[in-house]
Amino acid sequence: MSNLLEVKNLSYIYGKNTPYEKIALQDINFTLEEGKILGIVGHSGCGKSTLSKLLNGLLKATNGDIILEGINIWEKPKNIKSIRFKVGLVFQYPEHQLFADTVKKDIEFGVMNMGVEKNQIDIRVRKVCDILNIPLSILDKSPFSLSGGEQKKVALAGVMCMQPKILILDEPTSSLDPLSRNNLLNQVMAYKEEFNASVIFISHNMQELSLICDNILVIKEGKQLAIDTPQNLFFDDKLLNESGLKAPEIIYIAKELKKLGYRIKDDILTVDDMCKNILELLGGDNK
Amino acid sequence: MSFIEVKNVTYQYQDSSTKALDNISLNINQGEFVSILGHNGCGKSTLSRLLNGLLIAEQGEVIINGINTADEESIYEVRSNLGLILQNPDNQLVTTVVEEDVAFGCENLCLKPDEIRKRVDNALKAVGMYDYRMFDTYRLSGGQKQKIAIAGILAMKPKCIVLDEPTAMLDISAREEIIKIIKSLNQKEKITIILITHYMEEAIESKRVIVMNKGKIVLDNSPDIIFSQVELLKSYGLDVPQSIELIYNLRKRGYKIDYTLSAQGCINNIVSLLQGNDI
Ligand SMILES: Nc1ncnc2c1ncn2[C@@H]1O[C@H](COP(=O)(O)OP(=O)(O)OP(=O)(O)O)[C@@H](O)[C@H]1O
Ligand SMILES: Nc1ncnc2c1ncn2[C@@H]1O[C@H](COP(=O)(O)OP(=O)(O)OP(=O)(O)O)[C@@H](O)[C@H]1O
Ligand SMILES: [Mg+2]
Ligand SMILES: [Mg+2]
Repeated sequence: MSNLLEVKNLSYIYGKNTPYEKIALQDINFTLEEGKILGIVGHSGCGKSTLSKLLNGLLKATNGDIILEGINIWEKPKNIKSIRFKVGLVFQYPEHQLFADTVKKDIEFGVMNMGVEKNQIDIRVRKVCDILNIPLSILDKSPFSLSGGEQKKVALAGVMCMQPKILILDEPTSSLDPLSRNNLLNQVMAYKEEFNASVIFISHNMQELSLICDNILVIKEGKQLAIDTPQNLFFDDKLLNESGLKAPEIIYIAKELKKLGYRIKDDILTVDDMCKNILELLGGDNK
Repeated sequence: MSFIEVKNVTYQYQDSSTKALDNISLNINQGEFVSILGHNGCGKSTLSRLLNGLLIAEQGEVIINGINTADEESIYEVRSNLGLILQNPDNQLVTTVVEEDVAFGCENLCLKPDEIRKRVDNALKAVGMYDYRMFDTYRLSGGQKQKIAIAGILAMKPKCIVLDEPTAMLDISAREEIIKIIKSLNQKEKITIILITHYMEEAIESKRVIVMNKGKIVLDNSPDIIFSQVELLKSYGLDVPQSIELIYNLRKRGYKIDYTLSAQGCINNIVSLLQGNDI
């Protein structure tokens, strides 16, 4: 499998050589393969949003390189706009992204700039609205008159319509209700499958990260603490402690039952996994 | 008389074809800790804005501590009784320096400078942002801004605090901290708390859960009763914590296992189930 994205020794300092100098990221290294989902976690202020902006060229690294499909994204600074078509970023605060006078124009804006045909755009818009549960009745409303969760979905729809090769979502589910959240997770998976795209998913929600990520990058105070599979991460108590993260509730339950001496598998990630395991114990000899 | 009385309130935004709130009635007593759940766009934020008089009901009335929010002369009193933390902290932050921002609400209460100083410092410590007091607000990360917005309301010490998804942008430890702060304000200072959230595990911490659906209140009960109605909750676009989902799955297969609200309770009940099976 080829690496779609390579991040090498990436560092970023805000306000370099000013009294406000702040090292936001220090020596970040990872690769992202085609068709994979990478989660990013870490405490508030650890540098996640900064990293997302570096990856789509909104910020330029103080040090280090970002290689997209074998080419340094800053090799030709004039081409940085085309990078943003390939690496689509949905901001943490959707209202930073919304600006048009109707929802429809907002969703269409990015894809229109790419020169996609009008009827093609309409198809894409309708499809994305369907997937994200956006009622067509709000398409003619002002995006600023929407509820918080609705705004988030509109911002997401706009980026998805552009069909970027890498989709970066900065806390996309933080203001979604549980049903929309589950729909979004399914949709992200479906998007990935359909376009063989990769996804970078920033979230504080361990449960959803455990469900969709192939790998998770853990950042602490700007530094890379670990990059590993959800199983390895959430069953590693030492790392959890060090990073201040908490395993999803179901994994916590699995670990506690194991400590009590029950035969619990090491790769439990979902409620269904746990349920099956308990049923096995109930069916056979347990302790 | 309840501290909050919402009587037959209907609200429709001007450019909207549907009612954001549809004949809502609700009483909340001084000292309660209530959480509000509901799908995106069901009217939670609209209700919160009606409670502190940012919006005025066209039909029905909202009475806070005996004062009708439609009474323009007393709107100031309504807001000093009931502090609202908005869904997006960017809309809450008004000045450029963190501590000025936290002091802003207090200054409007015309408190003495040293009292303000004390309250601001305490509020900043309560949310773990004291070290950032001289920071520019625009340099803060999303979660940090959220904490500053919360500190600003904490410092005003209102009788009631309405928090509109206060932890949406926070990491787990910060979320737990905020919930701890909210609980202690409720228990120690008897401040009425209304918590709007999409996190089911936060709603469990409250004493009363209100579920909204399409502009109406559809459930209003204690968390243990609310969260044992798994299918009903899902039909409203909500969910239950994983521990409850697990118990629900086992019950569906005919196993006798009781609902419980905590992970530890769930572990205990599974152990009993497994041991019972031994015999
Ligand atoms: N424009 C800026 N100038 C100076 N410092 C900044 C600026 N933007 C962010 N920072 C600082 O850089 C650090 C990283 O911020 P960033 O927004 O990347 O964090 P984050 O991990 O996304 O946090 P959150 O989970 O709260 O969104 C924070 O300490 C923040 O205060
Ligand atoms: N300023 C406005 N103008 C017109 N319509 C609005 C306005 N604000 C909200 N609405 C509409 O009113 C309904 C209720 O919105 P509200 O913000 O109260 O929902 P909410 O329950 O807080 O949702 P969320 O969980 O997404 O924050 C939504 O359908 C929304 O589109
Ligand atoms: Mg961020
Ligand atoms: Mg809202």
